[in-house]
Amino acid sequence: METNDNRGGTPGVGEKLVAAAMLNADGPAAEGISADFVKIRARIDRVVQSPISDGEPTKGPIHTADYPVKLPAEAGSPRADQPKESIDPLLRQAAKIEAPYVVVPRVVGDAE
Amino acid sequence: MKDITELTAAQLSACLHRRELSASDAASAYLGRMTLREREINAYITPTARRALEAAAEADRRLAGEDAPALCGIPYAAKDNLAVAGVRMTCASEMLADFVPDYTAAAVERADRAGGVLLGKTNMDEFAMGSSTERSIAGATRNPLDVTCSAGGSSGGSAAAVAAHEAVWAIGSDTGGSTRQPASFCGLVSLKATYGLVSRRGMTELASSLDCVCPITRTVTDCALAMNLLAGQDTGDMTSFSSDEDYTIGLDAGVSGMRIGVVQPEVLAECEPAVKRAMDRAVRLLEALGARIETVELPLEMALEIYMVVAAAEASSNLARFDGLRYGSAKEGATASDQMRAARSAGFGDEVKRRILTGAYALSSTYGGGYYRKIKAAQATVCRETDAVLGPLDAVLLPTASGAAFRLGSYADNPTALYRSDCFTTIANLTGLPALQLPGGGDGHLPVGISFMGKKRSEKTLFRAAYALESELSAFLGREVGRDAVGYAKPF
Amino acid sequence: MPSVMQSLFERYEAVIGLEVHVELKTGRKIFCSCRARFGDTPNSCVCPVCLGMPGALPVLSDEAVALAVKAGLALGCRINRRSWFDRKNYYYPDLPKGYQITQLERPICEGGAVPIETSDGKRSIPLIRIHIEEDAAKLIHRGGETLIDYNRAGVPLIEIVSEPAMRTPEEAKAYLNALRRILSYMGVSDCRMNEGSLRCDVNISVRRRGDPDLGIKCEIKNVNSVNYVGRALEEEILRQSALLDAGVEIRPETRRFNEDTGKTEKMRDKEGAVDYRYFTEPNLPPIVLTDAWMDAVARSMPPMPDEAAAALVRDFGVKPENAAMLTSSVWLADYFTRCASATPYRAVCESLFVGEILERLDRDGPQEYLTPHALAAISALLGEGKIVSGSAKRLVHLAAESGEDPVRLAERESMLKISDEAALTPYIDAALAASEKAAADYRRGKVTAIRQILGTVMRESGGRADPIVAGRMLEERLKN
Repeated sequence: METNDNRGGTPGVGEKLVAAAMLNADGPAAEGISADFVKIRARIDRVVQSPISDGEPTKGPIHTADYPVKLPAEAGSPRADQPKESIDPLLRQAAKIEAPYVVVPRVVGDAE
Repeated sequence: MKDITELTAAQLSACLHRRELSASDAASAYLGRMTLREREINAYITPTARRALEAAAEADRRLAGEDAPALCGIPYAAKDNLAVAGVRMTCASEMLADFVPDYTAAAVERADRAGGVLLGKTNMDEFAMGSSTERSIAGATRNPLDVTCSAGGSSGGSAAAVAAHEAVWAIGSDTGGSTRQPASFCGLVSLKATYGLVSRRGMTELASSLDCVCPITRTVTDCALAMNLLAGQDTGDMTSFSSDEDYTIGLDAGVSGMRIGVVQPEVLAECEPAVKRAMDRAVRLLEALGARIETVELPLEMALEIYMVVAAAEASSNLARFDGLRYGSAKEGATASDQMRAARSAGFGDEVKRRILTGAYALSSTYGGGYYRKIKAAQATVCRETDAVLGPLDAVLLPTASGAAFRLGSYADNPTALYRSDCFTTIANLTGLPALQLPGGGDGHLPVGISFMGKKRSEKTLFRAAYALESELSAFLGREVGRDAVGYAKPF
Repeated sequence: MPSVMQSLFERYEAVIGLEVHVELKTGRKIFCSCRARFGDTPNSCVCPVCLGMPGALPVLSDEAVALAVKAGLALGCRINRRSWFDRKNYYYPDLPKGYQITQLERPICEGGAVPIETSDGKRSIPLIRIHIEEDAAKLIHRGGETLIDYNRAGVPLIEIVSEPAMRTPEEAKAYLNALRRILSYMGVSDCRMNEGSLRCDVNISVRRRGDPDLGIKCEIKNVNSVNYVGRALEEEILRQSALLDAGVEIRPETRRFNEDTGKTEKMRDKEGAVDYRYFTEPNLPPIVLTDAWMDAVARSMPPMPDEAAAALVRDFGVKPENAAMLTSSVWLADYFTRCASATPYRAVCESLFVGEILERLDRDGPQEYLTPHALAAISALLGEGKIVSGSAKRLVHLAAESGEDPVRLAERESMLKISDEAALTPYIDAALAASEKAAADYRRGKVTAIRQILGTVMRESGGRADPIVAGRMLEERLKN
């Protein structure tokens, strides 16, 4: 299950990232972006070359705490959202629905 | 009696609980105020008048009984990146122009459960990317204190609504300063609490590890009341933690004996004179109130650089779900990939595209070269350094923004220059620490803000310090902020 | 085997590694409380979380973690007491959030092995890791369109990654079968390849025998039966070694197995692979397994299926080939054990259970088809010779469907054997009258002729005549 957007050859920075971010970055956006690439590279380089770059990356302050998994007896039935009984209204935003499915043009490249 | 909309949340709450006013009166007054001011201010994307009147009627029933919560019947606004079931949520983007969630954000749920009256969904920069509330499908929000100026951003609509008395208080989101900077531009108070104190469930994610849902209020007391409402664990957000504090208790305990750091003077060099004056005055007042002051050095510059990479990286991932298959108007395309590309190209504005691509770049193994890991390591270092600075202190005082509100359109030609304006605020998001903005003075026309930043879960200390300064500063604020400034929070 | 192929197989050796995705049998999705079950109406089990709606946040299922750790313990893995989730970013219509939550950097389990047995004997296939992740939506291709069913989005999976340690298709098949047996026995997963609860990606490279370096590998995606894995591997080994033999360089490719042609086909090049832009999932704190939690999970571990099978052979005299079948799940082993414990007629019970009940359990799932008490009663009837085997089989289903007492049922259905002499007499008389020639033969000393007469008695009595009593009666009558 991966995207089907690998073109052959060695893509340039722009092309690669356009594929990655799924945008047609043409015109002004692309110009602004290519300028930013240069800046961000410089920024990253500056940070990385500074003496503070050592350390356990995953110990960053992403999380306030670890999550101790609950004992089976305590786990009970969770949580956030109850399942819905129908595709509507959750999928009503879809571009094309043929109940009960969301429909897209034929996807190729996947196991069929 | 004065106009109801002049009242702070605490004052209005007292009136409502004493039954001198009804919640329905308050809601009507605010809806009327919105009709009057909206054409000029553009604080709201989607007003919810009918919902507000129904909620107010319900609040009146509760107020008639015993034990109605403090903010029962108080009209408030919510940023348009917080989901409210049945109400359109655009995130100020073409991509979500028609999106109606059927779920409600935890923060709004809590406010509603306490009897809050939601007046509408407020304007913002598209997907909360920006510091000016100019990049919105709904057009720019204007600063109520000077309509030629920006209300700040990205929660500019929330701040403008409160400043224009189109809401008593408002909920915004702060990923790098997005409630504190607009609060500073509009002369208001905002607390970005410790990461995890307020549930993010139902808030459209920008950068998940930095995002905070925050109140914007007219006074420190109101902010404490709002935090009582918003804070606490939510089983729907695994990064949230529990809190049973009452933030209104001990507000007036004073700063005597507190150790307060002041950010290094070099960084003030880039600030407008009014900011420097406000900082100096705050230091003098704090000293006079018995606090011990010392100069400290915070890694602000580093924090800003790292912030920009982390925020863009996480945003590039968080916004990937908007693939046009379930959001945005249907786009033609021979393949699903073509459809996605077309929908994303048409649905996102330039700033959003810029950050998505920047973030994708930073994360890519080919071009980022594993830099993202190093960025995270650098972030850990910033945290350690900041913790070390804060260790012996109760709080650090720093500016919120380098100046007062800028004119709308100032950054139209140089969008990335606006990133710099977050240089005092991003450190709190990057480290997960709490920071409280309050008006510190003005430049004779518009207000400037100062902030207290503290250790994890030190919100009560920050409230105490801000409360002590607030009453001392009110006299100066009246002089330094233009008389013609409409809607400025005056003591009642 | 044609000689060309023979010669290729002699000169080339395959190196095979499998990536197996297994749906965890929690009944719920991993990050929300939506039901996860095969065969529900498409898009009926969805919510903001598994649809990736803006602002919806994942909440980890503790039960999914417990099942992943059970799998790890069963396969002898090291369990990481602290692990975390990462985001794997890519665009595909089956991925609601535009990223998959998985574990890259610190998986929940590392190491471990799957014991297998092939014609070459026993060996152990080492594992690299087991990690937890969420499943993607299901795409259904129809004409020029693709339909999306989000019911599968967010179903909990573990991915079990083997070392490239297998050398033959037979080993790969044995590995898959062993894995299925262990995981389904432990209740970790249904492991039904036809329903997609176990899916297999195959990595294979070929090298000259004796060559220490690995060749260029190809991946065959989503092969969905054990036999197809074997056939796909045979095809791919042949294809790759023929290419190498012809001096053609192998290109790293993602391929698929075409079930109709029995060949593998190229899907896409692997060069310039997708950059997944991995980073730590910020919405889920690292998961920590406390001592108390580990103890509780370890205590809930049943014995391994091979031990359980050996116990059935030892304690109940079960035939080894049946013992393997009866330990395909903990539940089944327990059900059978309760049945076998309820009767002294264990061989009879075993044969009825395997012959009549197993098939129904396969069809209906793990619910008791017949109470151990009722099965014991039927086993006794058959064991004591009161009914014939055909009746016993029918009785199993009659009793299961009606819930009635098997002995009473046997009476009412006239299944009980006729061993009473008075009752048998009319049959004996009739048979003798109809078999004058055979009777005469018997009397002349052709002893075997009695069988023909007895056959008539049995036929006329509908198989219910007790052959021993009837035989004795015939002998007496013919002697007189």
